[in-house]
Amino acid sequence: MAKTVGAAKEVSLEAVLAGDVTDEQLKALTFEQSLKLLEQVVAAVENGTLPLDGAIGAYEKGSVLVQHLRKLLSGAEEKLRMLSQAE
Amino acid sequence: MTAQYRLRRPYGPSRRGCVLLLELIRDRSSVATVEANPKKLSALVDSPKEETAYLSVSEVTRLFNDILEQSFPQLLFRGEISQLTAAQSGHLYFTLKDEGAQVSCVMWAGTARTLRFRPAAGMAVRCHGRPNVYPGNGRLQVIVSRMVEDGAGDLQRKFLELKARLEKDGFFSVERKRPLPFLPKAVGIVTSKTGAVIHDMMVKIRERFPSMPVYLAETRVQGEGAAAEVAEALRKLDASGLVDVIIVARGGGSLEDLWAFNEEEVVKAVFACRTPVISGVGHEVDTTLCDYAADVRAPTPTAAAEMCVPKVSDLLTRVAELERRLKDTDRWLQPRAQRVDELAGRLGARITGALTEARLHVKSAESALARIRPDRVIEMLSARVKGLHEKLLQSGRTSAQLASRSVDTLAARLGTASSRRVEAVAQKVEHLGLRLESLSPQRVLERGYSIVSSGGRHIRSVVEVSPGGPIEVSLADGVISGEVKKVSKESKWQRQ
Repeated sequence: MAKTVGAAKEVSLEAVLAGDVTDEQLKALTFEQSLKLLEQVVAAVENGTLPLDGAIGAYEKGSVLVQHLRKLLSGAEEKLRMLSQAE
Repeated sequence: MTAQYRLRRPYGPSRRGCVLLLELIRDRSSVATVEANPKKLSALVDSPKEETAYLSVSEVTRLFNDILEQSFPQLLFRGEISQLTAAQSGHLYFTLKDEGAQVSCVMWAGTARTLRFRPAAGMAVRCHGRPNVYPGNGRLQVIVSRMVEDGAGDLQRKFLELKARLEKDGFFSVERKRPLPFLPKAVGIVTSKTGAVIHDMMVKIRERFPSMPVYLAETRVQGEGAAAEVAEALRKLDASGLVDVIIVARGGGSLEDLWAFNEEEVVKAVFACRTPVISGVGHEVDTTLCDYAADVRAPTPTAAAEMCVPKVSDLLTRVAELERRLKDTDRWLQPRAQRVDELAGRLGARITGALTEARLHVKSAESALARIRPDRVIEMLSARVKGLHEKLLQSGRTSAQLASRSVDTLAARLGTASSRRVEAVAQKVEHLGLRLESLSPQRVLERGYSIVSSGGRHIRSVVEVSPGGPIEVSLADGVISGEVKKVSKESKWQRQ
């Protein structure tokens, strides 16, 4: 399982509210990016100024982010790997 | 068997051997004194049947100390300070060493306070002291009573020189420091495969984030070639792309133990890493050049592990809290529903209100309409007409009476007014007549004045006549005619 390093493309709150973001894009985000975005989404939804369909859309994307974050945090205990000298 | 020995001072120091005096106290009453030189003492120890020959450990220690003290009342020695510890009490514990050997030293707080410099590891010093076996652990140590600097220690000097040079070259630049990732995808560790360091770090990482992948790039961390291995491990981890944070770690040790992490090679490898590096080399008090070059310096290897991995429980709590808020529809959807209800309510109330009002209007109009009866209207109107008619008649009569009355009054008022005015005029005329009369020339002449004229002209000045000319003087009762005899300009009435 090769883990790639490097930040994924950021997704803005505006894009989420405009409905321009796919679930796949959200799932490509790093933990930090996802957490930040989820915080913004929750705040926007709670704020109550969004149009209702926008709020529902944001709610759905927020749920995807919650799942994504949970998945990033879950997982079995990792074993120590040796970086082989040949590598 | 509680045999106790009390050692007495030897009779005198001797370089060849000490003569000892042992006092054996069996109980308070019986005292045996044994005089022995070291050879005799060993013979004593070798004969187990003589129970009194066995010394207790404390006795042995005291024996050693007495011999040492007698033999070396003042020891002068020099070396490099290492493993320096300043105890809470103020006592200093350190090791003095050279290439081949080391000696434990202690300096009591009272002496330490008088030092003119701050002892530090790597410093070369000259000491005065006396050797002593510490009964607590049986180790030989020197109680240092005087210490002076012997020029900076070689390693320490090398460290400072290298630090100054690398600093100048920008390897420790603060602006270059990068932040650590919030949650790394994997952690790389450069340290020894064996020992407590990697174990403790793994325990810490597992505790905080069990699923965190950790890649170990194993190296030696001490001795010849260690620096090259550390540098190579850093390069490999960095190039592998597997990790997004690297920890360089080693347990605590002396300056020379940690020396690999001061080597230029390691500093440059840390500096060259594209991945952020945490340095967790040595204990809190140890500082290496690797610490300066790293993006973050951790006080210990375990602290480094703690720094680079967040606690999964904290993160899960945070996500759960956000999820709860997101799914709490009462919080964000309910207020909207309530608002709709509220608006609907207000709309309903508005309509009901308007209808009720309209209904009330109609009702009052109806009842007003019902109260109207044509016969009564005509009756009312004719009564009103009658009333007006009467009023009109009445006012006509009154007006005629009023008119005649006022004509009389006016006539009377006019009569009075005209007679008053005639009287006033007559009086005025009389008054004017009197004033006019008082102004007539006749009346002036009657008061004794004369009017002089010549040739029919009134004379006002003497220049109007000349001698021989005619002159008439009119008086009240006649005229005197004559001729001017003389004209004089001197007036009788002229004021002087």
